[in-house]
Amino acid sequence: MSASAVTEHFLAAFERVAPLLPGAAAPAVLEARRVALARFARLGMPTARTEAWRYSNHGNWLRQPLDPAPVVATTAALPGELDPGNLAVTDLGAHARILFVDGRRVDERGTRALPPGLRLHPLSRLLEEDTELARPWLATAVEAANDGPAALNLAFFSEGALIEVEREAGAVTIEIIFLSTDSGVGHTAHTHLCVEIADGAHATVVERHVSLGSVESAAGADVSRQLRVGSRARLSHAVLQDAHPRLYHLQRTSARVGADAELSLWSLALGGNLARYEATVDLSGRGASVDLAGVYALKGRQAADHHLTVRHLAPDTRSQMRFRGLLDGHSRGAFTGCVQVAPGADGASARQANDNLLLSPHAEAVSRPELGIETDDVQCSHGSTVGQQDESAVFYLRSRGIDEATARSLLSSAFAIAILRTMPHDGARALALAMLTLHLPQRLALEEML
Amino acid sequence: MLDINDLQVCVGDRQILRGLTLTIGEGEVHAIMGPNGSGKSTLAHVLAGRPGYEVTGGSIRFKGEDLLVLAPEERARQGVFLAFQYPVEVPGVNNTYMLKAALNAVRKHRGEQELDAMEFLQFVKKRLEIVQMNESFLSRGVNEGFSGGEKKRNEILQMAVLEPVLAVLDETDSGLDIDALRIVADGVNQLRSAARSFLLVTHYQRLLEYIVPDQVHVLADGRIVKSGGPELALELEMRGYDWLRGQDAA
Repeated sequence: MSASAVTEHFLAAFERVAPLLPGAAAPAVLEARRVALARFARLGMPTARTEAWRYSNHGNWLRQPLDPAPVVATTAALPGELDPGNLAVTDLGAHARILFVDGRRVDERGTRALPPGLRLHPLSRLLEEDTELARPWLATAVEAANDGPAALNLAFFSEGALIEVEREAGAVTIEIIFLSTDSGVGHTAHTHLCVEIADGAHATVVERHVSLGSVESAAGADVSRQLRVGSRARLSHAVLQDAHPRLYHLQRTSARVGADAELSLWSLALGGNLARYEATVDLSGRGASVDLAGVYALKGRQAADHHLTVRHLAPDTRSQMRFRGLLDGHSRGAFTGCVQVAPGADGASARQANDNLLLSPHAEAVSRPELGIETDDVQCSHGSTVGQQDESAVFYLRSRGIDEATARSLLSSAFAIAILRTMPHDGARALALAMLTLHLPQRLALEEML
Repeated sequence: MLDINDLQVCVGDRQILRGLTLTIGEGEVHAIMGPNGSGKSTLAHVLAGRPGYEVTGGSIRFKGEDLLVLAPEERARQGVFLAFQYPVEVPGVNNTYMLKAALNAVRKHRGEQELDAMEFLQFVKKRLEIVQMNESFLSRGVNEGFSGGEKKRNEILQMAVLEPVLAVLDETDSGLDIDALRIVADGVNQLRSAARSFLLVTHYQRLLEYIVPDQVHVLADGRIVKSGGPELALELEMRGYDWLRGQDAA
């Protein structure tokens, strides 16, 4: 399909599905979607020449994007085989759980009562029934939709959640499971998440993006997130992804962090055909900080593209990026870390590290730091490495009786674990390690390595 | 137990060992001394099977079998142990994990039951005493941030855990202060037994004051030029190596 044909295709698709989308009768909702669609019409899909998407140009999804998933009402109950109990679950001890299957929300039976101060709103219901609460989120979503795929998400999303955490809730954990199944093939499921952590509140959000059964054809999952972290609040947000190998997995997060608040964003990218993780973090209050960390472990012809931007907008703000890639087969791992320090953001500090281990001569690592600094009083550092396994360490382990495959797997795991072991939430860390274990050829007991 | 016959080894284009012959019997302790570049470490590495060393002639038989056809891990499981001159840091893999994986690989090979985490901890605690290490060593990354002395003690700990038939100590004394040297030597002496042989590779006679060998060999220009008892080490200490250059094995 030509670029203009792609654009026409989505415009026509929108006219078809618009009446079915939640909030179709609410002018504010429809207006936001129309603005997004108009922006998409103007921007179109990224191309191979669009710099920010250069390393997400993988497979043929840019040329032949998948149709938005059909709008279907929430499934009332889970079919037995979709029960999260069947998902090799590590119990996160979550206070709340939300489940999406191919972009549709599934109401679980026996859902626990939420602690006071924690509120969950299904977005479909919000758009239908409480447009006033949705309105400011729509406004910021419109603002953030600055490229074609982001605009499409806003135009087409039919489900998602608004999570509100007040201080009185205590330190709460929310688990969100995104399941991709065979029923999702041929479409992109658009989901939108909004998270508001009130001043002084603490929360952990763990998203698990996984697949059920084998999926033989291409499918797409597209998640937009908006995170607002109030003054002195703390939010730890993790995306743990091990999706099926035909999935185009696109995510974008825009976050705003208030004074003396701490945000930590984690990405574990193991699956998918393409895994794109985009984050834009505004450190808008004095003393705000963000820690972005993650691991991508790829093989075959997988690609992962982490595209991170931190804007230091206030004094004494701190940011840190720590990403490691394990690249096998013909895979490609790309990392772009942009740090912008605005005038007046004195005393800012920004650190960035991206290290890659190439496990095959055909694997590729791309590492791009970009710094834009408009003040003098700032401390920035960045480093990136691309290397092979340390053969002297391989020999050392073999000389102790450990076979070569296990030795290599052990060293790769250790390289990744150095990042994952610093995950602040015990359950999320255990889950991340369990997922990594399943992903490695040698099923090492990684938890014992900590 | 170990029979090395006319061993020739190249690294790249350079020939390092030029017809080295050495026999070590069960329970014996042999020391190899020699100047820098004589091929001492090459011998240690070739015994352990390090890639990059090409054996162009001769043979090594271990317990009557051809050692050179075995992969490094197979040699370890058969009972060959190399204490490294420069123990490698393996960040992120903790000592317990590595030791347990190594021990269980060896036990599996011997047809013994593998140890679980609790059993292993009991097992390793006794070995820690041999090198006067405390349990905190176990939870640290392998050699990660260890001092020179700690690294060498960690090598001896691994040896104590794996209970090899042949232990090759490659300049284990280098970089050790006198206290650490004593701890390491005491550890080795505790592990001496009728069923275990040692090959000590060293520059200096000092180590041999603590670990008294049965035989001392001088390696120069890739072959053994002189062999003798412990008194040979003292003679070398006084006279240096130059007087032996160009001599053939006595």
